[in-house]
Amino acid sequence: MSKVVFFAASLLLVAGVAFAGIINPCGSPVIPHLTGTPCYFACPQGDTQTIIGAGFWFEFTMNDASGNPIPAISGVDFWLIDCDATKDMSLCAGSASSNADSSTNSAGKTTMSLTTLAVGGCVTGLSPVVQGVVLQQPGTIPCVTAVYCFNVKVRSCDLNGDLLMNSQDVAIFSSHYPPTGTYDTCSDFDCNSIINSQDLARMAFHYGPPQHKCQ
Amino acid sequence: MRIATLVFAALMVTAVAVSAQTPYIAVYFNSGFSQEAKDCQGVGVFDTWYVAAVNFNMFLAGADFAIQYPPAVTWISDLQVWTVFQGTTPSGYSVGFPFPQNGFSPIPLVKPMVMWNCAECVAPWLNNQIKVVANPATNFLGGVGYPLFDLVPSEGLTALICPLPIATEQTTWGQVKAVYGE
Repeated sequence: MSKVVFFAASLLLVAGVAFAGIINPCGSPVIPHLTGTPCYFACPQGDTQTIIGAGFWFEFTMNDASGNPIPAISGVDFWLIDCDATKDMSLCAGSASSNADSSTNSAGKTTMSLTTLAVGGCVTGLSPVVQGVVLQQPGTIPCVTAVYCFNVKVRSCDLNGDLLMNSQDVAIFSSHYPPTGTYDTCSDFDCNSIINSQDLARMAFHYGPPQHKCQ
Repeated sequence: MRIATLVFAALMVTAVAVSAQTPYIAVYFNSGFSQEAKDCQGVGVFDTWYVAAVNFNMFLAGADFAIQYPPAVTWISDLQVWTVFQGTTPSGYSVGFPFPQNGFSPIPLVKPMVMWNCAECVAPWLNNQIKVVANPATNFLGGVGYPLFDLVPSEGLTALICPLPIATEQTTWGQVKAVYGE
C-alpha cells in the first residue's frame, strides 16, 4: 500500500515539476482597469501617451497549471494584440510593441500601465498575450474559455497599418475629412465622433518630416 | 464726476490690455505680418497675401479658419506653407504642423494668391473687408493646442482694401470739456 502511495505521490511531483513555469492560459487572471471606453491614439514610432494616460491599465497574475505563481516573467514578454476579427492592428517589432511595467514578482503579479502602443491600424478590443500565450477567461484545463477582450479603442495615424507614416495615410485621412469626406471612426483619433482639426493636427505631427515609423 | 471718469478710463485701459492678448487669425499684406490695409493694385494684377495665427501665446499643432474674399479680388489658389492641410481658404482651411509651432510669435498658416479686380480706390471698392471666419466644414475658428491637441478658439481679424479715412470733426478744448460738464 505504501508503495502505491509513494508511486502516486511521485507521479504528482513529476506532474507538478512538468507544469512549473508553464503558463496556464485560463488560470492567469487579468484585471482590467478601464475608465469608460478608453480611446488610445497610437503611432508606429510609439511616441504617444502611456496607456494609463489614456485611461486604462491591466493587472496580471501569472500561474502555472498547478495554480502556483510564476515569478520572473520578463516585462517584455507581455504585449497586447487586437481581438477584433474584422480589423487589424499592426505591431511594431511584434511583442516589443507594448510591455508590462516589470517582471512578475514572487506572487506572479505585474502590471501594464506605462507602456505606449507602437502600432498601426484601427481596432476596438485588446487581448493580452504573455510569452506567446493569449490569456483566456478563468476556466479549467483544458482551457476552452473565451480569450480576454477588453473594450479599448485603438486609433493610429498609420491608417493603412504598414507601420510607416506616408502620403497614403494622409490620403486615407483626407477621404474622411469634412465636408466632402465620409466619416470613418479610424480617422477619428480622439474618438469624439467628429473628424476635425484636432485629428488633422495629430496626423500632421506624426507625418512629419521626419515621417514616423517603427524604431 | 471725476471718479466716474477715472473708473471709465481704468476700464478702457483694462479692455485694451485684454484685447491685446486675444488670440486671432489674420490676413496680412506683407510677410512681416504688419500690413492690414492695402489699396487697389490694378485689374488683373496677381498678389500674394499672408495668413498668420497671432497672440496665441502657447504652442500650436494646427489651425482652422476660412476667408471671405471681397469683390475687389478674386481668389486664385493657396500657396501652402505646410504639407498637411485640408480644404481651401475660401471654402474652409484646416492645417496641421509637423512639429509644434511657437505661438508666442506669429505663425504663418498659408499664403493665398489673389487677382485684383480694381485699379483705384473708388466705389464700390472702398472699405472692402477681408474677413477671417470659422471654417464652415468644422464650424471652428482657432488653433489646436500642443501637447493636448485641444481646440483653442480665437478671433478673426478683418483686413481692409481701400480703407476710408476715419471721419473727424473740428472742435475746441472748451467744447470737449463741455461734454463732461466741467
